[in-house]
Amino acid sequence: MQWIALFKKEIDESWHNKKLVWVPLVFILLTIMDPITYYYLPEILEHTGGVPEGTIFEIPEMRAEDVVMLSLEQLGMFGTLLVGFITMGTIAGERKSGTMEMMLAKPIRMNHFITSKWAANALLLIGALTIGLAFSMYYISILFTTLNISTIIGVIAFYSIWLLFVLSISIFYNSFIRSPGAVLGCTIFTIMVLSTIKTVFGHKLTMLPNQMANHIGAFIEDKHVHTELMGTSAITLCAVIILVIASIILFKKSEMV
Amino acid sequence: MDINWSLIAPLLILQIVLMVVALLDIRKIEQTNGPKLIWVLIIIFISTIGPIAYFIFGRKEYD
Amino acid sequence: MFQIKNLTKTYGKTTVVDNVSFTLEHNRCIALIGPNGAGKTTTLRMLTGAIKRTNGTCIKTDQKEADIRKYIGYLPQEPTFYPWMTGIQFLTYCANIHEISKELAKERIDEVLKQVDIYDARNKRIGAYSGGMKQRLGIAQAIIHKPSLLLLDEPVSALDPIGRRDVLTLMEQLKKEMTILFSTHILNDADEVSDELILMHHGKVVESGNMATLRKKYETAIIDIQFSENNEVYEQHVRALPSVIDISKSRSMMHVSVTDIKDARREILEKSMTENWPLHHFAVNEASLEDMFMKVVQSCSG
Repeated sequence: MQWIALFKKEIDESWHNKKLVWVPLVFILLTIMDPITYYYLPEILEHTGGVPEGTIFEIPEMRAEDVVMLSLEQLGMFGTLLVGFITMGTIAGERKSGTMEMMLAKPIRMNHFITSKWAANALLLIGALTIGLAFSMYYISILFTTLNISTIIGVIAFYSIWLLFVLSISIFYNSFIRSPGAVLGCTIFTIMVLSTIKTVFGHKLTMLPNQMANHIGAFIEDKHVHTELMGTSAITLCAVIILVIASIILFKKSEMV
Repeated sequence: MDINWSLIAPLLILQIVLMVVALLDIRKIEQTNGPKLIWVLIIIFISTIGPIAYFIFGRKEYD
Repeated sequence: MFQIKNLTKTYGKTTVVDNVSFTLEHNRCIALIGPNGAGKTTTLRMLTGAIKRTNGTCIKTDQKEADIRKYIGYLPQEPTFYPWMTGIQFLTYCANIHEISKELAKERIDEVLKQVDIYDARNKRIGAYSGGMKQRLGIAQAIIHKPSLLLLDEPVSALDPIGRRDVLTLMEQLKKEMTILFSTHILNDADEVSDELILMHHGKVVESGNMATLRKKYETAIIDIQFSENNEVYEQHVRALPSVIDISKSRSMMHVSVTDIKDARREILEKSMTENWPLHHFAVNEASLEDMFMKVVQSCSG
C-alpha cells in the first residue's frame, strides 16, 4: 500500500510536469526522423544545390532492417542522453529542494522509496520507447518493407533492457548525490567509460551492456536470438539488479538534507 | 519535387504538439528558471529542441 | 516517553552536536532554545533520521519498534511541498504513506484540515498557498498520524505576528494530545507555550529543566521602582535603605539590586507609607528567559 502510494505519486508527478506527454513525443521524433530522412535523401541532396549538373548519386539501397538500425543508433545517442536528463533529479531534486527531509521523517521504507521511483521511470521510458518504435515501424512499413511483429516486439524488449540499465545508473548516482547536474555528469561519464571499454576490449568482451544495439542488429538481420544477445541481456539485467540494490544501501547511509 | 505530405505532416504535427504542450505548461506554472518570456520565445522559435530544453531546464519543479 | 542518549554529530573535526541527552515526558511542551548555530536543527534532524547520527540513540521507552519515525511528526524549518498537489491530495499521500486505512484517512484529513484552519483551501494547489498556509499544512502533515512526539523546527520565527499567534495557539491545543519538542531562538515564543526548556550552546545542552524551577534558579533579587516626581531625590533615599546594594537606571525606572527581596520590599513599602513617597511603580523583577539565557551562555563562554 505504501509502495503503491509512492509509485502513484511519481506517475501523477510525471503527468503534472508533462513528462508523460513530451518524453513519448520526443522518442517518436527521434525514431521517425531517420526513416523519413533516408527516404527523401536523394531529393534533399538534389535541392540543397551546390552539386554539379549531371552528378549521379550512388546512395546505397536502404532496407527496412538498415533503417531500424539507424533509428536505434539515434536512440543510442540522444535517447541515452535523454534518459539522463529525465532522471537526473528524481531523487537528487527532492533532496536538494527539501521535500525529502520532510517526507522521509515519515516511516517510508528505503527500498520502497528507491524502487517506486525506479519503476515509475522505467514505465515512462519503456512506454515512450514502445510508442516511438511503433511509429518508426509504421513509417518503415510504408516507405520500405514491413517487418514482422515478433521482430518488432523483440527489438522493443531488448532495447528496453538497455534503457533500464541507463536508468539504474542514474538512480544509483541519485541515491547519494545532492545535485541533479552532478548526477547527470556522473551518468554520462559512466556511459562514456563503458563505451571506451567497448572500443578497446570489444573484440574480447562481447556481452557488454552497450553492445546490446549491435546484437539487436544481428537479431533483426537473422530473425534469430543469438547467444550473445541472450548473454548481454542477462548480464545487463544482473547489472540493473545490482545497481538498484546498491542504490538502496547507499541511500540508507546518505544524509537526507 | 514530389513530396508526400501525408508522410511529412505527422512530423510537423508532432513538433507543433510539443510546442503547444510546452506553452500550455508555461502558462500554468508559477515560476520558471529564468525569465518566462525568454522561455516562451525559445519554445516558439527553436523547433523541437526549444520545448525539450524548456521541459528539462526551464520548469521549476519545487517552490 | 522518549529517551535521547548521547546524541553526537561530527563532520570531520567539527562537532556540531556534542553528547546530547534528554528525556521527553508525555504531553509536555519542550522548547529547544539556543543561539543560531547551537545545533538545534541538527539535533531534530538526527531524531528523524534525516541526518545520520555519529553516535547516540533515541528510543520510545514503551516500544520495541526500531523505526521511531512511526511515532514522530516533523515540520522542518522551511517546509517544501510538491506545488502541483492540492492540500487534500498531499495529506492523502501522507496518510497512505502511514498506511492509514481509506475511511479513517478521509475522516482524519478533514479533522486535521479544520484544526489547522486551511479547510477552505483544501482543493487549491499548494503552489498557490501563502507562507502561513504552508506552515499550517506543514503542521497538518506532521500530525496526520497522531504522533506521540511532534518535532517543530523554528515553527514561528518566519511568520508575521498574526501567523505566529495562530501557530502558538495551535501548539497550545496540540500539547494536550502529544509531546511537542520545538526549537526556537526567540525566547518569548519559548516563554509562551513551553513547560520545559533545553538550552543548547555550541552543540551542548548547557541547562535544562522545568520552566518554574529554572526561573527560581536564575532569579535575580531586583526590584523595579519608579516615582511620579523627583526621582533623583528619592533615589538617594532608596540608596540609603539597609538592604539595597546598588541601583541602575533606565530612563526614570530604577532597577534596585537588593540582598533580600522580602526585606527590601518591607523597607520600601514602609517608607512609602510613613514618609509619603510618591511611588508610581513597584515590581519584583522575575528572572526573564533573556537574563537566564545570557547568564548561562556567558558562564559557558567565560
